[in-house]
Amino acid sequence: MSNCNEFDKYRDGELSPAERSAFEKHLTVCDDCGTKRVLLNGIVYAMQQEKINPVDRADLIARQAFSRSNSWDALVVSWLRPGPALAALALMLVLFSFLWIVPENQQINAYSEYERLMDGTVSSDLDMSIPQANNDIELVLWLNQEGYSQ
Amino acid sequence: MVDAADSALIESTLKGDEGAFAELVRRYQAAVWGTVHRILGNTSDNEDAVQEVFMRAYTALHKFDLRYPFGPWILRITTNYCIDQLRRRKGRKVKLWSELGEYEQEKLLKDLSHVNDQDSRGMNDPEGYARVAQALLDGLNPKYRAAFVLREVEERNYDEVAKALGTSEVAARVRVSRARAELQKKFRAYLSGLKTRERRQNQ
Repeated sequence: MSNCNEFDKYRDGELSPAERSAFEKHLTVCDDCGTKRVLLNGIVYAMQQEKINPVDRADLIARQAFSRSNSWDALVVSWLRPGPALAALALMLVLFSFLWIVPENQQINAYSEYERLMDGTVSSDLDMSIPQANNDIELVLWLNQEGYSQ
Repeated sequence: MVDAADSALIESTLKGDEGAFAELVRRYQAAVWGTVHRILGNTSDNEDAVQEVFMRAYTALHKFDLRYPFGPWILRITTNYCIDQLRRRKGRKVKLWSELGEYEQEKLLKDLSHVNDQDSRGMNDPEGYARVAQALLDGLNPKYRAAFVLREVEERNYDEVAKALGTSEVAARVRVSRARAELQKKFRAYLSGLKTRERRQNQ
């Protein structure tokens, strides 16, 4: 017994000759399937008959494709491909982490060197009073005053 | 089936031969143009669409596997591009149907409702019918519309349709089936609106 569910198989030519014949009888009594068939035939026929006039743009398209591929923005986009982009990201992370790990106080100046020396020295070992130098200038002035200048 | 000439053109293109790419475009531009025209409708943007499809193909050409035919690959790029455009068009509310006058709409719907297997061959206004057809397709989900055009209008088998849509064959069948059902639903809605107007005019 044919029914509306077989419409797609009928349309796609997937019914056996006997099934097809039975479905065609169904089409004469089923308004839904009958209308659908007529409508689809009309749409498909109309679209297939429509004239399409392609314009030959092959040379223009090729020229534009090649000029675009050589432009700076295309090169940037090409760098955005997963492989190179991930490699660039990894390299940047390594650089940033290196800069992050090197602490600021490892920058050597006269005052930090003075502090390091003082930390490792017991005050009694010194035969001089420890100045309250707050910066390099004060320290240099004190060293000059005490005759430590070179 | 891999076309050796296509493979040679692709390899030459990748080596920087612009002429080879032009030849490749020339081989497929009619097919791409046809699919673009049928899925997007007869709009002034079609030429740009064809160009953009080949630009995308060129950009991705280095990823193309020469063991497979080029035709289904360019069809897939075309279909994806058209589906994207249809989604954007929804936002712009472009309706081909609304471009027709009321009289023209009624005339075409009436005629189309009387088409059958025999007299459809004698359509005297194929462009008008094509506009009705495009108008009806205009309301479909872009994926259903693309599936319908590939299967029904271009008469491609479900394997090709599935590859073009990047989906399974079962999903392609479902989309075509839903497109058919949706078209019938919309057509009935148009017809019932038409009959209502006729009744009002006769009263």
